[in-house]
Amino acid sequence: MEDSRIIELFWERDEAGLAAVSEKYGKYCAAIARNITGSEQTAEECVNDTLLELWETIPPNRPKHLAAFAGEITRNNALDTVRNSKAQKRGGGELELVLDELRGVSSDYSVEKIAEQHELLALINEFLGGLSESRQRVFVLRYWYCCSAAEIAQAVGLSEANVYNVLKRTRKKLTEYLEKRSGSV
Amino acid sequence: MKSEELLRLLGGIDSEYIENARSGFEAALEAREGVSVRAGYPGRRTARTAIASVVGAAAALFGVFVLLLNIGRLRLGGSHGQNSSVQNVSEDVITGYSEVELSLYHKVWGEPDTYSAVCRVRKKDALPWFSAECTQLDNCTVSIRERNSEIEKTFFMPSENKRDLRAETDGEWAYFEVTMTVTDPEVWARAKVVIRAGTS
Repeated sequence: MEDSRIIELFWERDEAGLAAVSEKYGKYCAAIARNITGSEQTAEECVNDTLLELWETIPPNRPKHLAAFAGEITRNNALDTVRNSKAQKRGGGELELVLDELRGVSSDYSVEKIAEQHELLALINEFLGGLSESRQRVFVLRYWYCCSAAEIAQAVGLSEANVYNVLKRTRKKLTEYLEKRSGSV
Repeated sequence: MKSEELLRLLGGIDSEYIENARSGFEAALEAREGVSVRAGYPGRRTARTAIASVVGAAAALFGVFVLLLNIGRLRLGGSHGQNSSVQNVSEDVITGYSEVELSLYHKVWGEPDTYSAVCRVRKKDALPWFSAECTQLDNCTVSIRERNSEIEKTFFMPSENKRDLRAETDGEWAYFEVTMTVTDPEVWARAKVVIRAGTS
């Protein structure tokens, strides 16, 4: 079923939309959640929460990319789950490594330098827009989808070492970009 | 800003970027779960060859590689009993990943059989080599032959790797003929072979 039709079903409050989105993107969302939580069962719970949230947010939303929209909700749910877990155990997946890598980007940067977070997000979007398509994908696969370097390497046809190099350089560039732009804002 | 906050903030990047990377993510997902295509079929009593025409293509993310896997035509000869129907032969398309897994099955009681499937793989310069790995081999042997280069490898043991399965063809297609020979017709036979292509 086309995404536009699924969204229409949501707008019509037809629960067939839920079944359709679950069938089409359930596996996709579960994989995102699994990458973050490292748990099959928790991932499943995150997907269920996502379906509920989709039902509550469409309408009023009419997402341009339903997969990305559902994926973002799942991602947030998974991050919430990890954060709220009593043991503060992070995902057995890639989350810990991803966070370690991002530490370098965030350490010299303060949210206070740019009052609004959406401004920072706009800067990141601008930065991503300036990257080559391949670097952009490697970055998103790592820091949005939380894929492992091995998975990214297979997906994009690079060696794992090259993936790490690309990520390292991109993080460095992002740090420099944010520092430069935050100074000018 | 903590890295957790940054990670969460990154969740809100433009959906275009997320969408652009989705095919790569789904390819990684398929690879993780294993792409399995049933290329054999149950029910042959005598030794004949069933040709499952498998056209595979995996499109690597940046357009360097396309591999299409398509089990389409499957021709059978002779008469068959109840078990001879072609079951679960599906068409599958893999994108963004340079690996194809072929599963071959045999579960008939009778004379030893030979089944084969042809996997047609499109290669680009960026992906100059192919390798094959036998991940499962029960009650059978499996041979892989690349038609153009005449390179042939036979697996007698599971978990064997045939790293030097280079298809030095001028054209962009390489044809891998995968043949399963059942050792004992009284026993269920199964084989899984993974064909990979890569850059290094």
